[in-house]
Amino acid sequence: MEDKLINIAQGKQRHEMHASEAIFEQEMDKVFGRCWLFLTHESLIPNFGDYVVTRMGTDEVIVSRQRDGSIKAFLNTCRHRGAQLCPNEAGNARGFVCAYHGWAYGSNGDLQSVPFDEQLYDGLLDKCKNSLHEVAKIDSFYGFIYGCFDQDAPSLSDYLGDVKWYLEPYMDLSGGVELIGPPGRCLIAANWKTPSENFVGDAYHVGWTHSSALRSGGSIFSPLAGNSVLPPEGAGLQITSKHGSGLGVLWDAYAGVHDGELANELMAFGLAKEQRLIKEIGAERARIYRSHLNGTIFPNNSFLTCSGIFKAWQPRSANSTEVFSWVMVEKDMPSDLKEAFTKSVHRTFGVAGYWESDDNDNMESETYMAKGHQAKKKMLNSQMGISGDRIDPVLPGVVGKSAIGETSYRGYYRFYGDLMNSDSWAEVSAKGDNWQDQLIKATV
Amino acid sequence: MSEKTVKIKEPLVTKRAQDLQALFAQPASEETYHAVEKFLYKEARLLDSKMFRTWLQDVVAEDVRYIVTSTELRANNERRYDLPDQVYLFDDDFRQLSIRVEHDLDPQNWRSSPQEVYCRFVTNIEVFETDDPQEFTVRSNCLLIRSRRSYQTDQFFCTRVDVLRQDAGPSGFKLKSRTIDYPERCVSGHNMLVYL
Ligand code: FES
Ligand SMILES: [Fe+2]
Repeated sequence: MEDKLINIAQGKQRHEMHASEAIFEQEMDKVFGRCWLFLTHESLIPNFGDYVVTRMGTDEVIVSRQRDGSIKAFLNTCRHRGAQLCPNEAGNARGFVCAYHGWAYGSNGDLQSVPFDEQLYDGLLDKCKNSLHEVAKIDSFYGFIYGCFDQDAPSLSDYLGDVKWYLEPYMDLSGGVELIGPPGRCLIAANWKTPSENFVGDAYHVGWTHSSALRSGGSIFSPLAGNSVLPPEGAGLQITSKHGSGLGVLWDAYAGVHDGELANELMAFGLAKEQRLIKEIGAERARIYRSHLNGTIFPNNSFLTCSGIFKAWQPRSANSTEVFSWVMVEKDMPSDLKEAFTKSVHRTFGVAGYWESDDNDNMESETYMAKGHQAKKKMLNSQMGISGDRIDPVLPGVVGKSAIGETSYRGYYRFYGDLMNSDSWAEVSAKGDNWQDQLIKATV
Repeated sequence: MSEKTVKIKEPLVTKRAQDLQALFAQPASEETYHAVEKFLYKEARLLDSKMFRTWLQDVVAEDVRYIVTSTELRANNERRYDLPDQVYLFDDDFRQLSIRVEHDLDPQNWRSSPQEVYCRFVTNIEVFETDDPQEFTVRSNCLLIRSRRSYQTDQFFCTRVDVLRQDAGPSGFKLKSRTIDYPERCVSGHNMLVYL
């Protein structure tokens, strides 16, 4: 091997990470077994008994609203012989009954009844010891609910760290957002990290990969088509954080990828709200509200604010990922605008999204090429802007030198490398003590 | 959960399925049937041949509505959870379909070179009259096989419910609406950048 899996000092990663089943197995333990993973949004399970079934890594989980309003999550696995407990994607239920032998659980996960319990088990079945396997930690920010299998993980707020400052104006101070379901779902032949890294910080590909979408669609980004221009100096920002989450900002780009009359209506809506927010939260953060953010919450939860897509890239195997696509929209948007927006989000970034399909090809080919016996040993390059990363007096995180750079790739894989090389959260945290220096000192 | 008696409730029949059955009441004439069959085969040929602009011009009505939904999996007896259970993978008008077509044909659409190859099988065609003598409801099944690059073969399959309007143009009809509730919940074919 030329190098270790992740070379932080030079911003490089070994290509094998996109195709190796052995690395994938380790990731399920060290990444998905430890990190905060997106589950659902409060708007999708508003009432007691509401549930969704979703994925955490390769596991299915039931996420269920409790009587007291709190939320619990359980492996979707019967404690008896391990059959799938709930085959539905969403619903409202007081409990879940296994289809195999009929063990019945409450929505709080307790095993409540077992058919012919008294006659067959001679009092030897302790129901209290057979509750559903519960996900260790559940927490939420701005209505987005996350779960974590590792009791030792930092709080969700600490885990998100510096990215919160950027997310808050759109996701919270705006009056809040909701997710519109159900999600679109499709299976792509790509490693889960390939879309995650693209969303975390790839403004570079937009003008080239999406050339045809930019030209045909007529969004505010259209001048970039065919790389005919570079966004001007100061068009945006790129930042990364301690736990790998990162994002890019394109100033004032509220209409995102939307086109036609819808784009004009969105611009007007965003401008009016920005004017109001300037008085409430100041000009700087009001501007962030109306700016386009692309980002990934480490490890596999991506979004585009303003464009409105919200993704979970769920790992199925090293070279297969299930894509879940919801729409993220401001709660107070008028309902007809919300509906037009929702359809436009799926038209661009859904299962049949014409922007999405441009991207998927790249992700699938990165994954496919990583199987080559020689290619997999080679190092990939994420060095754009590598000597320009800095600490800013106002902007949180490690900040890249321009909107187009690979700062947030480097931050994403810095943290990924720490997870893969550590045996506990204590070790991960210790390795990340000087995370800013590690990134700022990196150089070719 | 503790009672031993199981109450069997009538499974909910979706309103959607009932609505559709009402559309299939009055079969159209043999003559109309054959004209519609020819229309659908022509459409399949144009799409298989990637003649998307001709498809728009000769087959698709300017007031078209083209819908593909995907329906969330819920229990048959679900009654209380009332959030929408459908996502619109497509809900396109003529302008939006045109954007997709120009996107596909753009010389800088990297995924279109080398070209994908399509083969459509259109079957189970049934044609019904509507309240409007110029318009017909057409139910058909479509199997679309896509071959892509060296190793990828994808299958898409669905039932289509169309409204066709008689037209003086070269195809005899125009597609006024197409409605598909896509059967596969998690689409296995990588994406749905195809016309079904
Ligand atoms: S496996 Fe679930 S009741 Fe037996
Ligand atoms: Fe992209």
